Amino acid sequence: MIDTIHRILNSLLLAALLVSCAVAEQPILSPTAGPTASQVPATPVPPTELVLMTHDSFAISESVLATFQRETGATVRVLTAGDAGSMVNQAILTRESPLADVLYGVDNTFLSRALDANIFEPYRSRLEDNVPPQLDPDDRERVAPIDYGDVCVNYDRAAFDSALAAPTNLEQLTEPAYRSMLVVENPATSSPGLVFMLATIARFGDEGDYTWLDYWADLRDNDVLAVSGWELAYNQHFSGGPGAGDRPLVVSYATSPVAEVYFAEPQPEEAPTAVMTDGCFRQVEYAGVLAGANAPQLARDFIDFMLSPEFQSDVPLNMFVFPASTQAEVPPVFIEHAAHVAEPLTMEPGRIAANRERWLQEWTDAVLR
Amino acid sequence: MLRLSGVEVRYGPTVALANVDLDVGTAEQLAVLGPSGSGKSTLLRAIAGLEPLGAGRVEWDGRDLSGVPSHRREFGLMFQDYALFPHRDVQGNVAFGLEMRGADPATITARVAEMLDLVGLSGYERRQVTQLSGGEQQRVALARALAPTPRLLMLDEPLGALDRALRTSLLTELAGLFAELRLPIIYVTHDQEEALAVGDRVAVLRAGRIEAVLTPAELWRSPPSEFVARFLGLGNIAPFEIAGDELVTPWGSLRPSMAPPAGQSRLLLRPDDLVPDPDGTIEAVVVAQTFRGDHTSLIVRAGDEAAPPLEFHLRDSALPAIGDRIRLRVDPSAIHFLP
Amino acid sequence: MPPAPDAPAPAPATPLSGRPGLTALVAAPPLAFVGLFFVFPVASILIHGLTTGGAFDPVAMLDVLRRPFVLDVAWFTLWQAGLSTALTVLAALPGAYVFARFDFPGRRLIGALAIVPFVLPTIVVAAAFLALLGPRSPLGLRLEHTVWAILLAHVFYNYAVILRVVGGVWSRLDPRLEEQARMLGATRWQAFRRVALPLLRPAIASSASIVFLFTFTSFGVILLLGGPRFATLEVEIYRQTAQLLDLRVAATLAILQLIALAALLFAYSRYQRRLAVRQRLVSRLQAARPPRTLTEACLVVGNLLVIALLLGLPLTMLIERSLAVQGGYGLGNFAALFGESARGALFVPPVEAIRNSLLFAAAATAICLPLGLLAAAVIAYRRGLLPDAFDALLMLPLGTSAVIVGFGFLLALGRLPIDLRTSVLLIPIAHALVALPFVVRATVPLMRSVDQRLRDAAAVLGASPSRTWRQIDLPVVGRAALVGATFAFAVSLGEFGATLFIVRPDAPTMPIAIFRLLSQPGPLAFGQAMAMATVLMVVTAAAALVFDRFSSGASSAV
Repeated sequence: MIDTIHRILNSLLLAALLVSCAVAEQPILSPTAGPTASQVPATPVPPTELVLMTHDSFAISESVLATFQRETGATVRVLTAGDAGSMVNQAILTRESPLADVLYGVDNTFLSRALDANIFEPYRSRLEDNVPPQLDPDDRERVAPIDYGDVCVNYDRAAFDSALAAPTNLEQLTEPAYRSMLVVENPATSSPGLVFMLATIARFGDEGDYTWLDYWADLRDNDVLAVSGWELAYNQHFSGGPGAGDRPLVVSYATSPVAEVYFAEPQPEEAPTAVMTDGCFRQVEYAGVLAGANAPQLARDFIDFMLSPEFQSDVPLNMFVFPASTQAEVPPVFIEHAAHVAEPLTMEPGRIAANRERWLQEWTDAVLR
Repeated sequence: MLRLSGVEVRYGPTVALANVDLDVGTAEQLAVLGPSGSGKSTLLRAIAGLEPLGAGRVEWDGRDLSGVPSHRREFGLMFQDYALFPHRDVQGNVAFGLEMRGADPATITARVAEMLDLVGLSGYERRQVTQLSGGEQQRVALARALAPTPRLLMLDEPLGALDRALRTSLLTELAGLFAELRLPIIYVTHDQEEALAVGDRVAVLRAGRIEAVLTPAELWRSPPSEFVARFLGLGNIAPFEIAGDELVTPWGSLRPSMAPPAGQSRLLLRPDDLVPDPDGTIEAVVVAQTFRGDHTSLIVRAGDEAAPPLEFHLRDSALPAIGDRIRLRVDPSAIHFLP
Repeated sequence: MPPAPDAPAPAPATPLSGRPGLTALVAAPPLAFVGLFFVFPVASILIHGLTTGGAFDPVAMLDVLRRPFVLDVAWFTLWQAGLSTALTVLAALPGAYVFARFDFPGRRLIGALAIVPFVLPTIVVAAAFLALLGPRSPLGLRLEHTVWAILLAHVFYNYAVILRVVGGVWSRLDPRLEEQARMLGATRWQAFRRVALPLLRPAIASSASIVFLFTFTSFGVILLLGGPRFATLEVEIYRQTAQLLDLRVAATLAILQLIALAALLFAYSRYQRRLAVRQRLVSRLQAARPPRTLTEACLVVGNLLVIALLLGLPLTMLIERSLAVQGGYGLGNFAALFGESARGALFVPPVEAIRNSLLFAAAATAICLPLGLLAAAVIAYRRGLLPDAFDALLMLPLGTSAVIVGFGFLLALGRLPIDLRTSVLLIPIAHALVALPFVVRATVPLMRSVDQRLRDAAAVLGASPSRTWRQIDLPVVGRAALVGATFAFAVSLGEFGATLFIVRPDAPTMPIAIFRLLSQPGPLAFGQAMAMATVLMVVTAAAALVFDRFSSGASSAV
């Protein structure tokens, strides 16, 4: 009996190899989910599945997704592809034969690269009218902004009092009073780390008397700790995090204090952590229809759906970011505890893409070597 | 030189050796004879220090060995399956004990050559032990055990894995070698031929206890118990009753040359002591014949249905056929009594 | 040792001797599997990376190799792997001895638990070690983000490999060889060094090579525990591929890594063949007994203490973290894990993550067990260059960056008629690729040690060659395969890197679920992540115990 199973398995694998060799020379085929050119039926059957490609931090309520499925009659299949950078790169790599219909989660640090690789098919949803124009960087309408967040320095309230006040701007972080208090993430391997680095570049510039590299040199002299990822920084080293570490300043998100309140039992009146609003950098997330998608119309419908009030209102408590649409309802806990950054730092996506590698190398040399 | 007093070895709840007393003299060869599972290997392991004693003492030259670990006892032990080191060649195996003693390379080479010569394997130094024949492996094991000049040599069924012809010829060789070596030697076997050939004395082991310690001749002529007799291959055993001058046995009446000692209730007739004689007192029918080369063994049935079969040996070419009736005579002085 | 027939025996015949047709047939399935799911994808992405402007330009590699950081990274990768391997062997060898030769209460349980670290995702291990060695270290040791943290974590991870593989062979070593050595005047240590060690060399080399492989390609430990200051080839490849999409540098580094490893493996494989000594192995029951002397008892207790400290302490920290709730200790995190979740469609209930993990592990083991046995047959039963090269090829997936393989899948598998790129099947396939070497490594030494005379006896009694193989070799092989299968199952349960880099439908495994939970803000998420990690530990330990029952302890020390 087990021999028979072995033989069947073996033959199948052998067959697979032989077949793959035979087709290796053929042009790349697109994923087969719909009718092919050779079998044109009288009325084309609309695809009943929408494939969404996104990153690992994506979360949405089941009831909200069900709404889309009810309205269009199509099921939503979600593919997760690592973090934002990894996801974009995989989308670029499979441009000839995309894995999905919609790509969601490309942020402004990776946007330029995605646009340059031409992976999107332009589409402007009517609902984009509800989105503030400063969130929309692309005049060719290839992507739609869905949500945004700010990367800021968070601090543990308990560590600061009348004797030592919490820092209020970036420059203070280099002062001796705040020595050995800050933990940051490696911009080469962490998204908030990258964004914070961009914040310092946006603030201090890379020319003139005091450049961003000088700033980092000062931070280094002030015993800043750089770790590989947000999980480590926040969960292990931050004194306000679950690991009760020994550093009260961490690069995190403006919405992190909300999570500290929302998930605590019982919910405290005041968040135990707070945000330094100076030096925050805005991070926007976009979605777009992938060129060559299998179900382009469904994809467009889904973009509309993502900009709808229902979806947008569901975003804050699931992904801890702000909705892009002004029509969305932001939950009170958000309004109360999230820091509102009036003028966040920003940078043009093209400039980010052009200089990222060089800046990363310079940062590594300045901080790690 | 070697003395065991009241030695007991337990494996958990099982008693492998109980109350063993033994002596081995300076140049004495002691054969330990017993069936499988009787504790023969355990005995050697206990003497070697590989098994802890539950009770009793092992003494060498008057000194208690209980604190002395195995590697310092300087006893040679040859395992039943030789336990040759597969990753070393013949030279490497034989030289091992010398290496442990810290001998210099020149001495080692010389001694190894000497040992191989002694066992008849000169020139085998570079051979791989995994490619040797059984007899060759046995000799290498022997050479290895002897190379570091042990004070005592123990062999566990050394000929057990070999074919008969080899066994016979090696037996003679070994006996001669032992005589030369003048070492105390303990030779463990289940084969009585080997034990009788090799031992100055033979200790019979049964279920972990010593049944008897006698010279080979004594053992053969006067086995002390039915168990020993049967183990030696002497199976003509039956109970008897005294009727005046005669003994009534299941096979018929016999007239012994002397009265049976008190406490003996069975008797033994050795196969060689049964002779066909038309005037013999035992009437029997031949039931089986086995040709054994220099003699033929015949099995006959005598007396009543319940009587055990009798075995006797004939050397002629004139053999009775199966089914023939014959009469057997026993030399009165050859009747041996057992408890 | 069983005496050979009177004429010296020729080189041992095997079931595949002189049968090239059968050998090819047996080799075909594993070759096809590795070819389709490893060689093809990796070659695709490497070629893609080295293609400049439409033309394949391998010379571009030289450009990259000239950059100074490349040499630094390569050197660091090499020496930390070597040191980690040496330390692991030193730590685990006495442990292997204790488990192989002694019987003591709890031996089975502890042996099963030793495999748990192997399974844990690096992110969890990083958390545990940081708890131990970081800001709130109960030991007062601040070693976080140093090389020592990396080395210790590597030993923690790989202890079980040495313990089980070497311990397995050791437990079946005829103790009479060492006893004989002692009778010839060797102290216990000398008996070990001169007799046991040479006979253990194949197993030590085998398991050490796996440990080296793992530490050479170590990713999570270096990244998280070491921190930004340390970079191995693997970390660099990840950065270049996943973050920067600079496939030229990534391809160059990947090729460098592959060449270095292939060379090492090839040399090892030839060395291994020379080391293999045909010996009679005894059953475990013969060799093990309770400790009798004070020295022996100290040895046993000492090693158990090492295991408790090295392996148990980090795991205990994890459990402690999982029980930490607001205002003390409690089961709140577990309750939240298994209870009603306020989160949305994509926060998969943990029960599903557990179920997914077990299913994938079972599927991966089912795929790689038959393939592994076939491959092991070719390697064990045939001599020469080709089987050695085959052996090295099978090990390569362990030594290749998971990112490269994952991205390779995207490029290559899109060209097949069936688009597997987003299929759930890809996960157990990736796991099977990684687990295949374990099955092979566990079975090859034992396959080689089966006595040809037993096969001859079977043949004389009327068994055809295939029946002979089933009756004589398979039982021996079968038990060893279970050891390999245990590892394979454990590897799949804890597999994180490859799974992370495959575009996958939302069927997260436990490690992925833990990763997701750790990336979420809020104290509850962290507690739940630790709770899930504890569940992962328990599931693995249970799986290991189950496998042990099946293999009835006859083939492994534990």
